[in-house]
Amino acid sequence: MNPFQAQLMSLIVFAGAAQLAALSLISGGAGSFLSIWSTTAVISSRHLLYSAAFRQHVHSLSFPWRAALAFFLTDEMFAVTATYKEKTGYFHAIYALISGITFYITWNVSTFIGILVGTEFGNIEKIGLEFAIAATFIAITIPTIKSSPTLIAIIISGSSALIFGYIKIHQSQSLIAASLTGMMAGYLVSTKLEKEK
Amino acid sequence: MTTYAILITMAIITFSSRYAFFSNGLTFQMGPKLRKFLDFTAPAVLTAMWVPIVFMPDGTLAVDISNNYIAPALIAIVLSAITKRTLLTVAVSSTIFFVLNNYH
Repeated sequence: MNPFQAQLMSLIVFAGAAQLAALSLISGGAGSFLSIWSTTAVISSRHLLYSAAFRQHVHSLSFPWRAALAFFLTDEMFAVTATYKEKTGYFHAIYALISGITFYITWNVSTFIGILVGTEFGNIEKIGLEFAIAATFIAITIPTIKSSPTLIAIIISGSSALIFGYIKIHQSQSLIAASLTGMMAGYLVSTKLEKEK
Repeated sequence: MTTYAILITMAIITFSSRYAFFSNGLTFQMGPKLRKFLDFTAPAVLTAMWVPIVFMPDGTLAVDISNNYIAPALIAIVLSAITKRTLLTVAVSSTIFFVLNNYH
């Protein structure tokens, strides 16, 4: 993959995990169309959840708006927009778009710097980028715990992720399975609490 | 040429998964039960992403003193619970991680 193609990947695919997976498949010589497509589809499947979660808020918007919001719908954009909605009580399309574009620019500038410097992704751990990602998700999630169903969803999701990882389920599938288990736990607890009221 | 075909098809797959439920071609209405279920998307998915980074940094479960991710992650949890400030939490815990990981 030449530098132009590497930058193009960040510009049009705009999905960190899927890009890294595809790169490692290609450089490992296992880069057949079928393996890259199936890996991309499995890794991207969590975006189906984000898409479903925002559906009720965007269905009345015009096609260009929905297409733009979908293009910028990453983990980070979903996280900050969902948190903003939690805080203010309503879905803010402009907020979502601006944060999405901000992450898009950041990701592409980082890609550009990465290409210029020519560093491989191997040293990420030493610098602490991996940890910074974890810390960001912690810092976004913990303040949203305002009820026991959310707390249960987080505990079950996290422990499922460990169990699925421990029994060697592939990471991207484990992510979806653990998320759905946590969501189901949160849903069941909140339904039970409402019945008891 | 093959690389461009890979990039374009990947772009189509990622966009499709993001646009899937935004489509008005899909006419179904989401009931209150499904909406409530989806309310837990953010906390559940984000947790399922950070927990393996912290407790399985090399792909296998590592809950011991040699795992430099655990202590700063616990500090991040406590800090964000008390201060509720994202940037402060990330900056402080990442600094602690950096020091541990390079000098421990």
